[in-house]
Amino acid sequence: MNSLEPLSRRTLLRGAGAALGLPYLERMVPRRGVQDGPARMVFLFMPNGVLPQAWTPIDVGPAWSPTPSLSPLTHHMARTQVLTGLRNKNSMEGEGHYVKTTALLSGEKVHKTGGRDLRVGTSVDQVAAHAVGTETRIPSLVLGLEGVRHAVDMGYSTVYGSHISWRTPTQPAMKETEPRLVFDRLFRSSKRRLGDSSVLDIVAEETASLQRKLGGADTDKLGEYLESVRELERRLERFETSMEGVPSEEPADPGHHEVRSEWFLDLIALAIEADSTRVASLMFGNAVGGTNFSFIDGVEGGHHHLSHHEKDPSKMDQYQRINRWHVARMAGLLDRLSVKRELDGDLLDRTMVFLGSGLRDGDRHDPNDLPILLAGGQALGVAAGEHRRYRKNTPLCELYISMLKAFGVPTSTFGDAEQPLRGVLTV
Amino acid sequence: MSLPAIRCSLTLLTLPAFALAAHDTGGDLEALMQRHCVSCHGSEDPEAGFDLSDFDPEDLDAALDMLGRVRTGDMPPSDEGEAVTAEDRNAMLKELAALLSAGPLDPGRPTLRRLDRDEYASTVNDLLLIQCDASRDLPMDASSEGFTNQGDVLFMAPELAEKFTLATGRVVDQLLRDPEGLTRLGLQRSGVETESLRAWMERAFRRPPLQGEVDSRAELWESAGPHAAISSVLLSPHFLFRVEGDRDQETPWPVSSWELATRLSYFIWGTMPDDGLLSKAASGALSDGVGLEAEVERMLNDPKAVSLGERFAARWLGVSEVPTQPTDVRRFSGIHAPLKRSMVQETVLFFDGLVREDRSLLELIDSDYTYLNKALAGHYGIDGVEPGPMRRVELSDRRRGGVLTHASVLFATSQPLRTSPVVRGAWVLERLLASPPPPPPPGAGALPQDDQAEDGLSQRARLERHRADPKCANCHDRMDPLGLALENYDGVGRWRDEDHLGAIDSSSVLPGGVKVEGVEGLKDALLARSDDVGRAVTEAMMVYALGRSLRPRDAPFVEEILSTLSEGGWRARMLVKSIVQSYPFRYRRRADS
Repeated sequence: MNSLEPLSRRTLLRGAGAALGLPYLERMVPRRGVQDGPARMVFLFMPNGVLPQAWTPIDVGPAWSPTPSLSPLTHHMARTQVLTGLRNKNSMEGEGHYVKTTALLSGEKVHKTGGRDLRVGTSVDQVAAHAVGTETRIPSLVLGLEGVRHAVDMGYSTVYGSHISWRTPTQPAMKETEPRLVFDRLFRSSKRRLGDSSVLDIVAEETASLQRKLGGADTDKLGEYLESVRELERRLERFETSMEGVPSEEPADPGHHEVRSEWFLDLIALAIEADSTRVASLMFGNAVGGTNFSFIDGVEGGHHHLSHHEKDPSKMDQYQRINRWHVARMAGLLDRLSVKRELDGDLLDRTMVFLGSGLRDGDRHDPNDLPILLAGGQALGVAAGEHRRYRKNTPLCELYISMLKAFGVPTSTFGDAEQPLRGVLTV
Repeated sequence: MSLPAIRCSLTLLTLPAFALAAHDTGGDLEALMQRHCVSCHGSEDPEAGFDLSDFDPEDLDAALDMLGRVRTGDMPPSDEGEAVTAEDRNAMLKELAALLSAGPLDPGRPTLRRLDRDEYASTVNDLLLIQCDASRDLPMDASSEGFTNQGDVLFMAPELAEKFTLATGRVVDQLLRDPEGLTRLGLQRSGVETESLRAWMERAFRRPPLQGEVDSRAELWESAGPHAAISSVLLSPHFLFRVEGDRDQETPWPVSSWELATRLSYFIWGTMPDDGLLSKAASGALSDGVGLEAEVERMLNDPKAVSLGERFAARWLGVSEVPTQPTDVRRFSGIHAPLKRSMVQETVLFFDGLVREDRSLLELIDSDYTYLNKALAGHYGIDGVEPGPMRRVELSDRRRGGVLTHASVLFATSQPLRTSPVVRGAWVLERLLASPPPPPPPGAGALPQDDQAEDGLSQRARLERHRADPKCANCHDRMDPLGLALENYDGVGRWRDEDHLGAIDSSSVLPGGVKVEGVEGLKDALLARSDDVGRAVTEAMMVYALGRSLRPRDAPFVEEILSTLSEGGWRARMLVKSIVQSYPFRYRRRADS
């Protein structure tokens, strides 16, 4: 793949390291828990499930043997938990993909609609972002390789399948799909782009006044805008205390799936290093994603079609190679985070990295026994690496209760769960 | 783009004021349903969960769903119970249509629309008289039914507001960098004159601004300079959103002439009204049908009307994303981005030509000309097209001509490594015949990814095996024959007489026993269904023009437009004009409580 990788990416990494501003401890941004250091969470989503027999290790416990799909994680085994047996109960109804994708991080029921009145639940990453988002330049990074899809399929808007992160139960978090724009936002941010407070005053006033005059859904649309403008005003105030850094080169965007994936992972790692955000989500594809993975040796064709392998050995093999590719991307992010020092450890010690899919076997649309990995976060109280097998029907959302606890935003219930997931935390 | 109940169920009006007065079905509909429907759709274990034993005449979703199925002959099935006479079928259609048109007219209500990405970019250029690609800073919009201008899915969020702020900063920078920039807008850098500011803001807000709105900008101009003042206009909700006023009134009201001008402008041009349109809004010239029609004529003659090809047709036909749709580099070498853009351009220019020359919409199915440049002509194996821009080219045979033969369409409906007769067939049903097939059930399976798979079977043989399963046959009998007739086109739209297995067989038999030979036979079969083709393009364009999905209460408006078009020979301009003159385009009503 090296021939496809633009030189500028390496240049960026070098340039950015110097220009990023200061790492967490020296930053003058207001923050809480200074003595403990920051907590972070990253959610990586892969569409279309996995080939079960190549995913789940046979043995449980700390000494699990990596399966073909998990083999890229071999050198991170000590910090990676393989969680087997979790179920997202509320995504069992509805159709095969969209519901299971969009409710993955909230565990809430999905309202069946073709577009009007979308409703799921606030996702775990956004719950975290709401809690600490004001402490960093950007509340959360919400990224994806594919744009927002537009159609109605089986009665569901495909907007659902394009989002795992929901700011509110009715509003998806805006997903960025252009590395260049993400880069601009992270490193080219200037006071100018947040606007001018006198301008925003007028705009907020006009929006509020208009909102009083219109009815129905129009009021909600203006409410979204008013809230957005106020958010800009708040960020403008915070801006005075934050630091700026401008790397010399912006990312090229050659459109290749692997290159773009690497870019997004770079950006997540850089944003974490600079403490620009503490929450990120990345969708490698949308629900029913048909990305052509022929760039992987031994694979010819699109992801969704290969996931319907129908037990054909050749398709199963190709499907498994695609699964492994996604795990390798996760491993790459762990590599990036574990080489950067922070406090008395590395960035990964204070970052929980999740990789998962809303389905188990892509051939069966089954939301039981989901493929879920959790790496890092050991300095936040996350247990050391282990393959844990839970009893059937254990709620996936118990994991989110545990992660929120480690993140410093404890909650007693989440989705269909009412207790933390046993064993994931050391405390 | 038809109106399956599923899509409408959420938009059905429940407001009592608009609810249907108890309709007297005269017992006719009930008797017809007893005879033809309830043997399967009865109260015990109803087929498809659809129980008609106790049909509620106020359930307009169900009525519309049934209307569609009876019209297309999908229901009642001919092999069940008593044979259905044409008389009974027509009586059912009439009764169901009566249900849908009973009660007061309802124009519907689009959700407040933000300018979408393309509209925003075009509008700032037209407003500031600059050339700038402002869409560069904005993310892609979500869309509904293929279109990005639908109020329900035009979201706003802090991240997006930030991007609009950034884009605003950039375009105002560019304006102010040009020493003549402000002068062209009738403004002066030092000391703003209220009257000229008011005139410019009228263009920005697409209506006369209020005194307070002008005063606040004049003050800002004094205290913070032109950048802040102009930015505050571009970030105002009155600019970013297409605001339409509300009234505390039960009955629908005609939108104001300014609001109508804005609806017209974004429908036909995809950008803000020009000075001519604004002056007609001011003078009231749009309030009578004749004046309105004359203005639409003028607008359609303007080059900006290519927006109907770019924004409506390319999205209706599902080809707008072709330039970024990857091709497999090993299988299809030489399919580069410029060629893919030319593919889309063929479709855009073709539709633009239909409207510009007021041609028959049935040319969408078959035409003896198309638009090509040298590269696309080479792709098609057509000689004699000199280098240069895309231009009209006469065709000597029917293997090209009509959207079915456009490489954009053939490519968009293929898989990375093979054609997909199923997707192509479903595409014809949905986009050209207004009768989309239901989505595949879970576990429906899929054909091999690669048409050169090892089993040595042809696509046709594999599909025949699939259709042998009666569960699958129901839909695939409708889709597959349409797609198989296009098998002479490969996955990127090139003509082929044979593939790796030998000569291509593009013959098929449509439901009802009509034999079709290849693309020419398919074109004839579709031309014989001109009413359905007309319905497909009409419903799609209404969704685009109204900025919302259609609901059961729109059915009477659709029917009225269709009868006008059918009598008038399916003229393209007549479609645009009929939509503009239609009640939902010109009226607004209160929000549902």
